[in-house]
Amino acid sequence: MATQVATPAFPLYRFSVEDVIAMVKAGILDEHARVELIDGVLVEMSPTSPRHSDIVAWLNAHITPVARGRFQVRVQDTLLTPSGGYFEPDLFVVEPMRNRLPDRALLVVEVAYTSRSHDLWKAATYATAGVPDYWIVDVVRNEVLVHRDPTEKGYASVERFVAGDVIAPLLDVPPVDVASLLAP
Amino acid sequence: VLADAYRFSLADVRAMYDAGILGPQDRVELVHGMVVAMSAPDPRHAAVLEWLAAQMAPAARGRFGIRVRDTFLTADGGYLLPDLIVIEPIPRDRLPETALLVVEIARGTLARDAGKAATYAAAGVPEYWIVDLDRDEVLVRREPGPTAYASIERFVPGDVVRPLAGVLPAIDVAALLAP
Repeated sequence: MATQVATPAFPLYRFSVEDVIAMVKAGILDEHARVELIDGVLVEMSPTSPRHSDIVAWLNAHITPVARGRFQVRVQDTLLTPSGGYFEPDLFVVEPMRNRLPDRALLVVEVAYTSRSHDLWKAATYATAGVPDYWIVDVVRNEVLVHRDPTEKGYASVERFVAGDVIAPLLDVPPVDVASLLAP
Repeated sequence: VLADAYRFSLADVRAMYDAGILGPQDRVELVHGMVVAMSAPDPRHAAVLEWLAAQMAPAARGRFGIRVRDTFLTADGGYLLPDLIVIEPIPRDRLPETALLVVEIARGTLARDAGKAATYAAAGVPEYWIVDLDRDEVLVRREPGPTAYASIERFVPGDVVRPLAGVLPAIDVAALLAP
């Protein structure tokens, strides 16, 4: 299922990232609002569940200690998309940077509770942005979908991992035991 | 339809104009909390609207207000900018929430304007006209109910549309479509 952001009958006004930043400054949008900007339309993200938070925290604790200096781990933060919008992935890894928002990432992880179709739909965007490693941690199906080999048309490779499997990230970080990830 | 679109309030949209996020050239409506862009200007649309407003104005003077492409508050907390509305006098610090007549002039926007019928019916607008410039006809909706109009009548050149508010002038469809 594609996420549809416009209907022909009602052409939605398209906001830019700068517009959204100005909305936060003007107090129109709460700084902590869980929204993404998709094709110029602000979209509300599904609320997190405790298990969702636990998994993100586990991954963060897994990667951050070995990241020091080489890259940065960002959690539910802004990642600009090639179409002029932004996503707030659950966790992503970027090269060290300051004073600007990242438009590419080395690894993106989305934890899907009710958002699997939305997260699958995002694969096209992450592939276009050249994200080499995109994981969807599906806590309903208890599996991890690892997307690799990004092309302009999407990821050439999608591999499914379940409890008992180990994922070797493309990044130089320790392997991820899927059973531990899913039951942190 | 975008089930999970972020919903803005009227106050949010006002603040967007104040903060310069929306500029004076940005004409938008707020539909179910979503900011909707208005269609691009069109010469024939403008000419038909000008002609219709000129017909209505003399009869309305002193009794009703005629507002052109101005704010009409909707029940869901949003607002529309109908091409023309005829309203009873309201206090100067209020915006209209209903009207005696709403007219939308459609040029490539028939689906969008037809989609507004439910909103106008719910607001108790007794008649809603869509002047369809693509098909050269006027669709007149009457008998508003909570979710829709019970009656839709089609008028073409040669016909005359008589507003329910009797003091408003009868409109010759041929003259309206070729002002």
